[in-house]
Amino acid sequence: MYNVVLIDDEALFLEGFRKKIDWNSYGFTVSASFQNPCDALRYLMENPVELVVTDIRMPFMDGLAFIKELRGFMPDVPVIILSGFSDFEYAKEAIRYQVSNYLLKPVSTEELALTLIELKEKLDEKFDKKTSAGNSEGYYSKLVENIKRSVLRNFRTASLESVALEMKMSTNYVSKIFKKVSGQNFSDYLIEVKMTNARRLIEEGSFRIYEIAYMVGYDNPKNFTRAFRNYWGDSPRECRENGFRE
Amino acid sequence: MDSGNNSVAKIRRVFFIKNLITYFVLLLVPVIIFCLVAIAVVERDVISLIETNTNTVFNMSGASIEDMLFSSSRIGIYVNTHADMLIALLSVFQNGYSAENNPAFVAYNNFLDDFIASAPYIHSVCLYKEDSDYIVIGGSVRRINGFGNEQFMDSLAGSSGSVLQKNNVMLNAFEGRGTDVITFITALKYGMVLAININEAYVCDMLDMATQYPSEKLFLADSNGEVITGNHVFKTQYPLVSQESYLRQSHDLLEGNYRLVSYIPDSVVHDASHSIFLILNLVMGTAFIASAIISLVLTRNSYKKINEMLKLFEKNGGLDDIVIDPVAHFDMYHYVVESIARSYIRETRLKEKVVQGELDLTRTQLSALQYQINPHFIFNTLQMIDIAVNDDELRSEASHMIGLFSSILRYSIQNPSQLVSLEEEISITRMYIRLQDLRMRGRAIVLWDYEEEEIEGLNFIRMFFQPVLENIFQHGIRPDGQVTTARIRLKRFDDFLFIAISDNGPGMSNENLLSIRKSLRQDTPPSHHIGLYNVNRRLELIFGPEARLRMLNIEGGGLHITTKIPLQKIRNDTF
Repeated sequence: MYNVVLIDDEALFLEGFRKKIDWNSYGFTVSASFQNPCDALRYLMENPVELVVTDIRMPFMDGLAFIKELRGFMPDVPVIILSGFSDFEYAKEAIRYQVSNYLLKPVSTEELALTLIELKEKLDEKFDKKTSAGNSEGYYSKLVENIKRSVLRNFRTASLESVALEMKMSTNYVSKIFKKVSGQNFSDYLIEVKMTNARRLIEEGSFRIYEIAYMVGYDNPKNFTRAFRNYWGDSPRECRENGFRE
Repeated sequence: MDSGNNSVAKIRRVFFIKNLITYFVLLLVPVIIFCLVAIAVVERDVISLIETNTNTVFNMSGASIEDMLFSSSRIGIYVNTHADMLIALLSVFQNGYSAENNPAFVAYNNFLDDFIASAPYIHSVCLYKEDSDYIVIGGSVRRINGFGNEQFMDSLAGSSGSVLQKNNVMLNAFEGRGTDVITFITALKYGMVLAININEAYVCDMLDMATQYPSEKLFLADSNGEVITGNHVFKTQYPLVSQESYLRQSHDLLEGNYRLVSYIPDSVVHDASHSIFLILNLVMGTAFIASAIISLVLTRNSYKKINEMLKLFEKNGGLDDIVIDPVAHFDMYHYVVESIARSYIRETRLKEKVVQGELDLTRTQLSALQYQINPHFIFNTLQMIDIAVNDDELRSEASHMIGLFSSILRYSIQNPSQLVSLEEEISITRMYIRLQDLRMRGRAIVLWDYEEEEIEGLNFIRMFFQPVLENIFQHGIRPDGQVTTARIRLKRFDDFLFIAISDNGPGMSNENLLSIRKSLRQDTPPSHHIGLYNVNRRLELIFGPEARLRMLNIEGGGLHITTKIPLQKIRNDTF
């Protein structure tokens, strides 16, 4: 478990944020939260953590000033900044202090999850930890199986991001593993699933082309037609009339 | 200001050159004309002067020669009129009888002496008779044998009538070269011939003195054109050099038997014009320098003035009161320029203020309009979230809803007067659709119809699709349970972007349609359909009246909303 410290001047937010996602399932635990950045600094000097999440605009100490201080004695710890309004100037300055991510309030659960997944993988690498299941072949194949199952279940709305979130892994990781195990790009697999289902729906005969497009997840029929033609060689209409090439 | 300075420097150069050319030409043209006229006049005057002078020369020298000859003829007259002299001479010629004692001869001698004394140009006087062995030279009788002077004797022998001839006579053996003379031969009675030898040198000197110009050639010729004698210039440069051209004049003497000819080289005529030409060159040089100086001074002055004017405009670029430095010296030109500059600056400021005012007004209107649509949307969505939170099935979606909602909200309140990329507007619309999906639960779907390449590089207003779709989701859902499909078509055609949003819902009655159309045209927002009114107003404000929303009922049910935007207004030029 990696330790996280939360800092925000609103107590209600701190509580809600803590409960917002299941930190443990992503490999983190909230060891402390502070409303006053000075208290946080004092705590951090004694207690090393692996992640700091802080608001930018706070009455006691400006978020950026806090980070500057923090960097003084913890130059490498990842920091996530939260802000109520997208403030470009702040973002620019934040980059200078090597901030991991800059999230806008209200914090999207997905975005937070994705960030945590990525951070965990980086920290794992850094501390040379290996996932409990290790590098066993079986683990990876199982993972890919799960991915495929998820895609087949929700092919209309499935995407690399949604699958990665579901698996609680970074998109890079999912993409790499999938390719390694199945030999196929995830995006190609996704299209394969969609197109296969599209064929099924065409052969069923009771749906209009645009309805089929929507059902396999294309809200723009033109894009669907293009992808269909790329995959099957003919347009959906032609395939409906003349059948599919084998 | 750099390009300004460069162009001012260029203007300065051009101005200087123009001035230079102007003054130079102004000074030069009259001078050249004057010089040409002067040369023509002078040459003409010089020629007439030469002619006058030569006439004088001719008159003088002609008179001298005629004088000489006329005087000489007195001797002939004397001899002819003194019979005793004639007899004496005849006997001398007959038998060489010494004439010294003959009183007639002595008288002749005396006469001759007197004559010669008054006529220093006379070299000798000869009396001659053909077939005689004797010749009378001066006052002495000499035998022809041993006299020598063959040429001279030949000329005496072959003479008929009055003749002028050049001869060389040697009176004594010790003379050496002999003397060049001009012999004037006249016939006397009884076949006798009188020959008066005039010193050629005397004639030459006389001709020399007569000439007016140092290079003038003056000579005496007979009616055949044979030269008898001439001035020293003539003798030293005889024959005539043909390279030079000459002014030739002649004067007849002795009833046309002889002629005085004068040759004056043209250079004499041109001497004067030559000096004029040199003066012209000098004047041209001076004129050029003078005009250069004047142009330089004028250019510097103008340059300074232009610079001041430019500084004036620069200084007054801001919003402060117009600042013009007090003029050190009063100058009409400066005063006029100042007044013009003041008016111009004032006018420009006013225009800027007006434009700024208009801009501010539009911005305010746009902001107001854009912010206006949000309460409607905000409360709807909050309502939705409230429902979701309290519903067992939808609770897990609540967080997702909030995420979508805040993204859309953030997007909608930013930069109302600025355009966003069409892709971003479509992307946010898709988020809105997802938000509504959770509410619609399959009752409505939205299909897009566009080519991705066609929308690349285009900009649009924020929150265009959302209010229109909202209208459909609120009032346009099919009551018969079938899926309501909304179609959004985007197509580029003919320098326009065409957007059509149509649905297969129940549509609206014709009265409603008419009333909506009317309310879109109002100046103030209507009580209903604020969203559509809002979108329409913003389209008109930003893209002009052509971009207004057009609404039609679809046969069979449904509403068809279209707009067209000129591509040039939404093309992203940096693309």
